[in-house]
Amino acid sequence: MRIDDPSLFALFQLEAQSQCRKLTDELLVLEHGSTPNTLEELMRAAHSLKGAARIVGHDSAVTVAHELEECFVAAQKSRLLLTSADIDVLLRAVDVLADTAGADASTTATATNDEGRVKIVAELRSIAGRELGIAPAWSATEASLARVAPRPDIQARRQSDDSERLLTLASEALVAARALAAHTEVDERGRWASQEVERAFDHLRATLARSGSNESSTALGALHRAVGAAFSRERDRTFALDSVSQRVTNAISQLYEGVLDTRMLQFGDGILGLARLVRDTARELGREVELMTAGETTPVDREVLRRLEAPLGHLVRNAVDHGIEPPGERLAAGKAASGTLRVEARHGGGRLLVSVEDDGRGIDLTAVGERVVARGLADAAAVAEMSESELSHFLFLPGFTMRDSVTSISGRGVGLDAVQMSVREIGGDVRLVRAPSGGTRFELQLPLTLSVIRALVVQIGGEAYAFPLARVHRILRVDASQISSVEGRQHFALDGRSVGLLWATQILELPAADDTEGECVVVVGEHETAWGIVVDRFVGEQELVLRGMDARLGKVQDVGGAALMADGAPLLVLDVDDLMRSAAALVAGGRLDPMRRTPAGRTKASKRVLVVDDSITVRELERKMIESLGYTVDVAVDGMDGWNAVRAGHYDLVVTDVDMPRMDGIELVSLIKRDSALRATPVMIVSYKDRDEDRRRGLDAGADYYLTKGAFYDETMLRAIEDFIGESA
Amino acid sequence: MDIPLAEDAIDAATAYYAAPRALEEDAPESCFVFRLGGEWLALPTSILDEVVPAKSTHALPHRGGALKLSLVSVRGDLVLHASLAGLLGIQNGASAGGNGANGHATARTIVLTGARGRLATSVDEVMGVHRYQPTALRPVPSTLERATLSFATSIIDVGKHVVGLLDGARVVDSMTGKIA
Repeated sequence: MRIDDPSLFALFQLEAQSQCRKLTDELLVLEHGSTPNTLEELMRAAHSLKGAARIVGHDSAVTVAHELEECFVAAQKSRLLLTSADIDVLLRAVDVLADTAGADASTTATATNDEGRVKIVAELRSIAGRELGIAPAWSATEASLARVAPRPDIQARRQSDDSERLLTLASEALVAARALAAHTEVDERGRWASQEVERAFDHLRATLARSGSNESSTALGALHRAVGAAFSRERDRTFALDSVSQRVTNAISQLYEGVLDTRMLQFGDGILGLARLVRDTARELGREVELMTAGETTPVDREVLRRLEAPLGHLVRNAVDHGIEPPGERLAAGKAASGTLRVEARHGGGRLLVSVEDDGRGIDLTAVGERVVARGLADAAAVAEMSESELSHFLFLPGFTMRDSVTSISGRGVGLDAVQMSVREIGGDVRLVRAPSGGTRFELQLPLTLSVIRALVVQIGGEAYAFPLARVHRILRVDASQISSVEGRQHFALDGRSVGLLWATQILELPAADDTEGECVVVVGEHETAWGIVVDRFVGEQELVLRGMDARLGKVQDVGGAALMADGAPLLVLDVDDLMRSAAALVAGGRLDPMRRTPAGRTKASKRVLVVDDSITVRELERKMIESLGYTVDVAVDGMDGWNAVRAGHYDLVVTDVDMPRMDGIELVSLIKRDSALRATPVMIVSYKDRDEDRRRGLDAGADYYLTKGAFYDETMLRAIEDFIGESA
Repeated sequence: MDIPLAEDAIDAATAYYAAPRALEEDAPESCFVFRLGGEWLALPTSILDEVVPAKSTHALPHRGGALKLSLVSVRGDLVLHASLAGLLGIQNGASAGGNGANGHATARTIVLTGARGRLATSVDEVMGVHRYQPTALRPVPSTLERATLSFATSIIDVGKHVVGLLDGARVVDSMTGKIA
């Protein structure tokens, strides 16, 4: 599946249509007094649309959707009702967005179109800015917050453009300085040359002494002195040049580091709003909470800090709501009436570590276990076997909440799954541990910067590529004898596990290199999702300054960014998540060929089922189970892949997950049900999401059956399949 | 441009500049003349941003195609590079580091400006900027082959070469249009 596939753009237009319709509907609801979910629905619609527009590289749609989202975010943050006049603007913005998205991204928009867009963006910004400005959270008493004045984003953007330009120039200067240094180094060769000349003179002098011509000896002496002087001048000059070159290289290195440093802010700059947030939340819920912060001066990359804001705010609200008990309960438990919330940042192991810790009641893992069993996510015996950390993983599942009543603060809507997702997006991770005080502690570990990464540089197809070091599981050389071939696919054993082997040139669609050094393998992913990627050769570990790529390219599949090597040559940094998806799709693609994988004699008669799931575990489990009934099963790795497969092959049933990258299951179902040729194909959704609204969303989209994953490993799924399409033969 | 020039190249350039040119000062139009494979072509000077010695490019995965999209580093800036030869359907030497007829490195990377940003491409040899009167342009003969036909607007004589003048905006638009 290519990003530049025209069908993807068509999909985007479809999605834009439906999201714009949704935006309009919800805006109208909002005008007549919102339901608790209205703003959230609006945010989600704008956000999905922005994400979709970004995928197809439709920048103007991204801009408008982003500003819309900002308005909803601002409105939600400040808990203010938008006026009818505001709703007017927002509705007009949706119209502009629909127009923009409808137009082909590559055709240059007309001037009036552009003008309308610029105007509406300005109006949206003024709404978002105003909501911030008059919201109680930014009142005059908090003078320190005044610098988060309207439109900080514009300034930030300009600053980051400037810093990008400075970084480009500084790195070019560094490359040039290094090249200069290579020329000026006083090398041994110069010294040898002068010794060579001395020896030649000695020899000549000895020869002349024997022949006894005085005149010749005098001339030789003069020549000797002249040559000596020339050598010495040359040496002085080289020394001087060398020292200048060293000073220049030094100064430029410092300049370069300095420019990199300007991209750093202090952690404290990013948590200005937390104190107020804690106070407001605590007051609303009748809690007494003291916020303590530490590590405010820890340097953090501007971009990391920006992306950290939302998850941090969420964790803090969560802690006040779920963690810290009401004062009465605290006193009864022998604690101080006022709870303590600690937010701390520090550097450790080359990462930024942020923790959010409360001294509240802590998470009752027994209750979590019961909830897991009650929701059928696992059976009681399995839960009893689970470790604390395994149990706490369930809290990060979408829609998994421990709160029975929905409060206005948390316990509804986006939960810890959203926190985890936004942290993972920037290459970090979050985990939950029990605090020494008995409370809850969330530990986030994040990259220090998004602009400098440590990477493993390799050669693929004769060109330089880099794997972010954080995503490299292992590197090793694999002997041909260690590679086994199963069903035409190659594997090798790693730690007693069989790992699939793929050539990087194959995944990236590049010509294979002529000379490679045996099988150099980079292992990415872990356990079931591990892949061995074969590269030409390892070059080494290097620190790279990431550069953005030309926006006209959109997202280049499997590529996360570009960088310059020390010699100034370009290099591409691989997007490992993308790479693993491509690898899975490549293998699944091979599997889609029925001649290759289905034992002869059974192909003809058996009915065909397509399994769509982004988790290889679930996918393979479902495949095996369904195959055990005698059906022929093909797999697809996400909605997009599934949609391609559905159109290419004839299936009697589609079984799909909901949460998947690129295209989710709901979208897949809607597409199938909207297509006149495919409409009749039954679709079964199998998902962890088991809230009524999730179920309704699936069925509304046209799914014929909605099954929660808790039940998928028992007979329910198999019986349902047989009900739908009859027995296999 | 820091590569020493061969004697014959200097001779050719000298002859070119020494040749009498009537009304040179009054010539209002200018184009940038270069060689791609065996053909001499020109682009309007207005879309030319800079010319640098040929740089090695880094291919973009999945974006092969006729334009062979790649990245090239021009003074520290990563610029998108597309093959003009691929667009015009011309067979040329190596896109980078190609040698001229005299065996010297004559290939250049040229950077063009377009409405949607800069775009680099490679040529086998650069002659330079040529100023001309609009009357010096001749219509494109219908016998002109291949895709060049649809991009050349007219023919012009530059020294002993017959040069196809390309429509700059169309060249850049078609290259950028095929990127995404």
